[in-house]
Amino acid sequence: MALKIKTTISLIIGIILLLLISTLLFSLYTVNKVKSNLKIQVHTRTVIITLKDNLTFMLDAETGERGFIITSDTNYLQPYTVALQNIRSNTAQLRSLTIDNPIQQRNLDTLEKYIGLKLNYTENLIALKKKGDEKTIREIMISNNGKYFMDRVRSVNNSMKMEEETLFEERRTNTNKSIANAQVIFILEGSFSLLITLFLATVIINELNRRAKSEKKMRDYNIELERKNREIEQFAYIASHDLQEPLRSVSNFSKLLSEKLAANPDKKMQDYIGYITGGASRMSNLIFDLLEYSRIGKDVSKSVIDCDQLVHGVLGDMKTLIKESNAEIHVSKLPVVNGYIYLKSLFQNLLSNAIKFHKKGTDPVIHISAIDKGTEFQFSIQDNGIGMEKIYHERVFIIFQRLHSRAEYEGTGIGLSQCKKIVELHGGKIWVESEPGKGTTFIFTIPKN
Amino acid sequence: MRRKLNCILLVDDDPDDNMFHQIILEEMGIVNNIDIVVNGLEAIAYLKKENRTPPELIFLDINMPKMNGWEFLEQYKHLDAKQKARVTIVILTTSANPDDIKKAKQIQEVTGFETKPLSKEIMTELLNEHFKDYI
Repeated sequence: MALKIKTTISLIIGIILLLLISTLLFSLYTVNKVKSNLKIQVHTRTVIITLKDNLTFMLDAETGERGFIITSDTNYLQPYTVALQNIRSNTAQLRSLTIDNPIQQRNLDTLEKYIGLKLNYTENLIALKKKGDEKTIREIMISNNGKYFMDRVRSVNNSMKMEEETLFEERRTNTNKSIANAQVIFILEGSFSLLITLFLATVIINELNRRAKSEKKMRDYNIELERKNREIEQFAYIASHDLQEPLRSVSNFSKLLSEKLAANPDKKMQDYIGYITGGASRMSNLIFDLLEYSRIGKDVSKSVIDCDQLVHGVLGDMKTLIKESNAEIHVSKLPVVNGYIYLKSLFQNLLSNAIKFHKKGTDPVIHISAIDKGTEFQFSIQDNGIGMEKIYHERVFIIFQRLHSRAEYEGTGIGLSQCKKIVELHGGKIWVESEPGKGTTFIFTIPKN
Repeated sequence: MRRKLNCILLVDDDPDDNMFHQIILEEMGIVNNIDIVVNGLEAIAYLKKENRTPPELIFLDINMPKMNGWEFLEQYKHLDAKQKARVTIVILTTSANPDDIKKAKQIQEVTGFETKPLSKEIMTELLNEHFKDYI
């Protein structure tokens, strides 16, 4: 479920990113296109203005020439000369401005031809005027060639202007079209992005809601669990405490009774009383062990525990048992671990088992050792006792499971389940390696942190 | 010649236990009077009674109705010096709960902590420890 949501979200984000990138690229493209179109429009405008100037300069030249012809005043020749220069530079400019347009270049050829003819005509007239040849001047002027040339110049100039204006219009439409296209695409992309983002937001909000709900559920369960745990603990404590009381009466008064009956000749009475006290004491042990079992994990504070010191302390407590059973116990150097106070019960249980289940006629020899396994310490407690079949290797850790009758070995069947609970509280594992008649090794691990 | 204790007070709601402890103490023959009360409230009333010579030793149970052992100890602190003179209090309870033992050690008025049942051995030890001048 969580994985599916994650994939969906990644997919949607991917699509949004793709959309954004494509929009960005497209907008860059559009801006460039509009920019170059604008540049071309400006260019077209420049050509049109230059064409207009051209005509103005031609008229200037004609006016200067006519003024001189009529008045013989050389002052008129000055605007004429200026106009000539302007015309030259102007046509050169036109040539370069329209270099990329073959139609305009051809038009320009024609324009230059008629400008040349008209200027030749004008120059000729001025030269004749300077010589004073009025007659030839009149003849030339009557031929009307000057007007013809000038009309041609005007006409070609005009068609060039028309051509440029058509181009300008075309380009303007083009630009507008690009902008309109871009608008449509931007709106589409924008709406789509918006929709998909909304969808993403819905998915995320739903997921967050779902998580919040399940977290709340989990918290509620936890609280419930803690409450139940406390109840069970309380129950175990009260039950064992209240069970002890009537039991104590049974054992107390049967003890008194047995003292009183010591002198009685009927031996059977002593036996019966013995069964009563024995039963009561076994039950009392059971209740005590159960209480201990239920207490494991109650103290939640870990501390630094030197297992060397701990085990030697345990051996000290068990001094009498060790002496009575003639046990030989070897302890190699044990590590310092971070653990709970229950570690002491763990060693106590395993050691008393190792002593208890010894072979008849053989003194117990027990080795306690530990090895560093990197992330954890592995402890082992090895004995030379009676051992056990493989099928029992797991069963021994189950509460109340006993392998032997009470007549053979005493015990409540709680000790090893207690050990398992303690090891698991530390996050470790416990198991057994054993064969009948070949001794038993209990191995458990305690993680370093 | 060493003498008997004058009085031991048993504070316990369990009649079986009281009976048993009484038998043990009587059989040992170390005390003239054994008085029994069944909760903390009665124990306080007992100690407050006029012209009462306080008992030398109190065996105090923890779990009792009306006023338990801890509450009794709280009240006991506020008694007159005369009412609690020379009293040794030993907690005698079913509980071997480490928390209770720890708690008892922090209370100045508590001299000892024993688990039931009281035996002749335990009593002999208590006498050796706290009543050297007596039997």
